[in-house]
Amino acid sequence: MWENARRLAAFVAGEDAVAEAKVRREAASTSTSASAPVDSLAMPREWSERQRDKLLEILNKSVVDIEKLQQISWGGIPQDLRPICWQLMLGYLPRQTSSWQDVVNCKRKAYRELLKTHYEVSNSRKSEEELGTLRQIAIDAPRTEPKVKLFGKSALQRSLIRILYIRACTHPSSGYVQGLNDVLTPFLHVFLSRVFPGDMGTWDVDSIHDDKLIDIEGDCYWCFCKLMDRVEDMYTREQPGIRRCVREMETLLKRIDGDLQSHMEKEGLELLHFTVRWFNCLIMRELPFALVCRLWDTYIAEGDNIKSFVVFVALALLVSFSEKLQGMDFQGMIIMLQKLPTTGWTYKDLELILSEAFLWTQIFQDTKP
Amino acid sequence: MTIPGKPDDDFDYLFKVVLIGDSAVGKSQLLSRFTRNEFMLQSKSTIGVEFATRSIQVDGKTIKAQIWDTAGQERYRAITSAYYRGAVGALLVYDITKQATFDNVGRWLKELRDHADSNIVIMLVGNKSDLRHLRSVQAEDAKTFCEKETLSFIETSALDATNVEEAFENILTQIYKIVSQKTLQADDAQAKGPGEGQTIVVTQPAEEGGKKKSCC
Repeated sequence: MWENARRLAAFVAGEDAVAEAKVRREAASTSTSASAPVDSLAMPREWSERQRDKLLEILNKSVVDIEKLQQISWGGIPQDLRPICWQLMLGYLPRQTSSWQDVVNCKRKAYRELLKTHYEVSNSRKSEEELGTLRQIAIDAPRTEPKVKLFGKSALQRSLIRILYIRACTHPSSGYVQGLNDVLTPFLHVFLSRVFPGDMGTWDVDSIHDDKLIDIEGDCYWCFCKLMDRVEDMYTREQPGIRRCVREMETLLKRIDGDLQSHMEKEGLELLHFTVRWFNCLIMRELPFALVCRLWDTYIAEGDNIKSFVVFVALALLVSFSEKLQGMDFQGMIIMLQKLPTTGWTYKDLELILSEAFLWTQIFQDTKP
Repeated sequence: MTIPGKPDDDFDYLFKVVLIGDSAVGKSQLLSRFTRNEFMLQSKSTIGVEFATRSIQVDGKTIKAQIWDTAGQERYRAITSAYYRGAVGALLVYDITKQATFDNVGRWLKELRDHADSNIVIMLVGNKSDLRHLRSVQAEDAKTFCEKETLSFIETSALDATNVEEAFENILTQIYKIVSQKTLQADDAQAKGPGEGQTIVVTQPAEEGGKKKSCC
């Protein structure tokens, strides 16, 4: 992972690795990377080709080496390989490639059963608590990433509601917490991209056959559950995981950026004032949606470490605004922090945050708060 | 305990007010209408809290309202109740088209009584008054409830801006009256009060307001 991050840092700094990769993979352009030559939100083409080579080598084995896959995926996955890499790293697909199809068929069938048991029953047979959950989800679904039109389409509104509701029913200890609707969106986006090529603005999801949609929904459901399992205590009663993240962040901020920490303290600004949303939505609300899948690559590659890694991402994000923040009073800081000026951020900006977060995990790994 | 925010800004009083109530009753929209005169067509649910501020004039004094907008889902209460600390006012919002959001008002009051200061000034706000044809909570019922609980009451529409200014002005004026009265009493007792133009930051129970005024 260390080597990977170094290479990444070299890439960000524009060193020779780029030119080298370009020569080697000149001919092997693919639809996704070729269609967006100067998209500052997309993975740079040369890096994408490099990652593709390495990932294909891992994926082309009869038994996939998950650890290797995580190492490479940490640095970003080309769009077309995302579904399979995420599914493998989340343990939805088994390591043995020969049993992929059977497992997927079986899981999709199981999802249909869950739909029947929990969702497709009349309201009179749902408990008061279940109805409350369903109401809350129905309130939030239309407020999901409103700037991304895809999620507002009626087919996807139904998918969001069904997946969130079934997960709440099958995981009563965490249930549904506002913001999980956001956390689900990268899965829907990525898994739908297998069916619809090109820009998601052009996807006609309302025309998709119900059966096909339920298949994709099933994949989303299982993968979403797997990711949630890794961070479940963020969403259980009283959200102890979020409190832990805030505490860890407090301790680390003192060591990483003492000046900012004391400025915030002097102004009476506490991390709790703005980081609940950061952690609750795994920092996705602080970034343009187009960058979120890239962030998810790294989160998923972190495996169970995501719980502590997200704290380092939060720190890197906060500290990247340190200078500005130190010139502000309480009010200026909180207004900026609850609406970070990341709208114009590019792929490269996110890479820098991730690289910084990674470096700190290395420095502080033995001295966990 | 100090309320965040420096007293050297251009204001005489700084009041912290919280917005509470069920999901999707329009808390964030009320805040957006009051502080930015905007209604957000594409809004996401509030997670944790969101903060905004605006100053108004009362009796020739500048009152700065520091408003904390909280998430509506019950699951968040453990976390959001931490933000009630230091609040001197609360706007408890329901949706006039959703009876359930009015039925829950009692639970929110309990929440305030458990976690906020006992002297907090509370105003019940029936939002979405523009949706007349969908009304399910009668203003009379809300008024009766407020008389019983000694709360003030107003109906608003964040969408068409009806009564939004009034709601915030009313609660801030109420708080101002209580605080300035307490300050006067405290002044009499101590025979010394804040000088002209001196800032008063109210962070504590109103009854202690007088003691805490000399923050600068």
